[in-house]
Amino acid sequence: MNKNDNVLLLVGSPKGSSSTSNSLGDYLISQLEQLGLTVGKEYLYKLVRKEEGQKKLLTKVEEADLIILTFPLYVDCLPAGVIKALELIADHRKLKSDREKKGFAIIINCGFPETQHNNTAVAICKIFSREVGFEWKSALSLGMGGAIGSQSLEERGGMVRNVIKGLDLTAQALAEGEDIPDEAIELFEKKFIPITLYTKMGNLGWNQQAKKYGVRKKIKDQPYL
Amino acid sequence: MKALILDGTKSNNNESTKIFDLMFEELKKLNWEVISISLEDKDIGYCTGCFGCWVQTPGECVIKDFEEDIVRDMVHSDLIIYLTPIMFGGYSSILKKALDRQIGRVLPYFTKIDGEVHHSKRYEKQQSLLSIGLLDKHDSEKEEIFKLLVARNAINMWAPFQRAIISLKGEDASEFSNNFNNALMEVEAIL
Repeated sequence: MNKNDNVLLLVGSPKGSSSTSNSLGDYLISQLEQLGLTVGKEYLYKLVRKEEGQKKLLTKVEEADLIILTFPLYVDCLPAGVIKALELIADHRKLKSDREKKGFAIIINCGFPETQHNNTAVAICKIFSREVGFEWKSALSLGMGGAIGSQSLEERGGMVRNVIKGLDLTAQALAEGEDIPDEAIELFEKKFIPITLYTKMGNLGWNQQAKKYGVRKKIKDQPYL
Repeated sequence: MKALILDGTKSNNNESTKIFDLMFEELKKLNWEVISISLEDKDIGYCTGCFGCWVQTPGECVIKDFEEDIVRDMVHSDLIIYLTPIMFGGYSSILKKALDRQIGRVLPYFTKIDGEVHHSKRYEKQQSLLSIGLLDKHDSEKEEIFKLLVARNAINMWAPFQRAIISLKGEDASEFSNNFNNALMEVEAIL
């Protein structure tokens, strides 16, 4: 891949710029930019709802040489808006007689501490890549995504040092036209904190949020019975 | 016995209409009460990832649209049936839009199932899950991922029984009906 090649970051979180997906994607494209690549970013949930946005998505995808999709895991899978985007891209590319090869890499994060929850979604993205004639550049899979939130990785500091290292290695490899290296994938999968601590903090966090809305005692309500 | 069919296929699809009719026939034969919802034309917004259904209006989505009816029907069912074209090994966006909005059916709290972290139950009664995936032709990779996805959904939503059935275009109707009927009998056995 040449240094002038176009990189398109597709953010697949409905939370848009206030999401873990965006924080991870932003750091990666900033590194790619420093390595001399041209980068662009689009928020999928802004594009897929209306025809005009859908056309923009397809144009951007066709212009890109490398597409990086960053998204959260929703119910064991890709969020609906991301699936919609993949369906649109697949339909569009089916109609094309000359399908240029484009690189396709993904960054997935989930709120569970274990990264294996992401495996099905990764496999779906890999099949999509094959089906539309993209070149699969591999996947970075993160657990405990809620611990990053919308803060930039630099702001998060030492806790995410392995994530930053993994993204640095990924940027270097992608800029040279290579796949995401195994070392980066392994660094990404390292846990920030022990699972027990994460789940305890998570459960306390839910209580605090519910308290903020005045529903701490109703959090276990069964409204449809 | 109540079954809820969530139809995530597009209209005017002969194959999905055929499968839908076969399912309906088998359910009726076994005296299931059936609610079926064609999702394509329903007013259902995308999940915004706000977690309001956990911490703001517990158990209910903060977006008020047709999804509220779906989640209520889910809670009162014994069996939930997904009907979807298999998209890259997963569900259609039409079906997934409804599924993303159902997480109020579980609690935000983490718990472990077989050593892996998931969310705790909100309701005592849980629904079995049958998922019917439509494919134009045999594709072992897509079929395997689809089955895995359904199994993972069943764990996360605490389904006591799950089965994924793949239906290939042009497949003998009696074969599908037999597979579907066998799955129904297994669901009934644990009710």
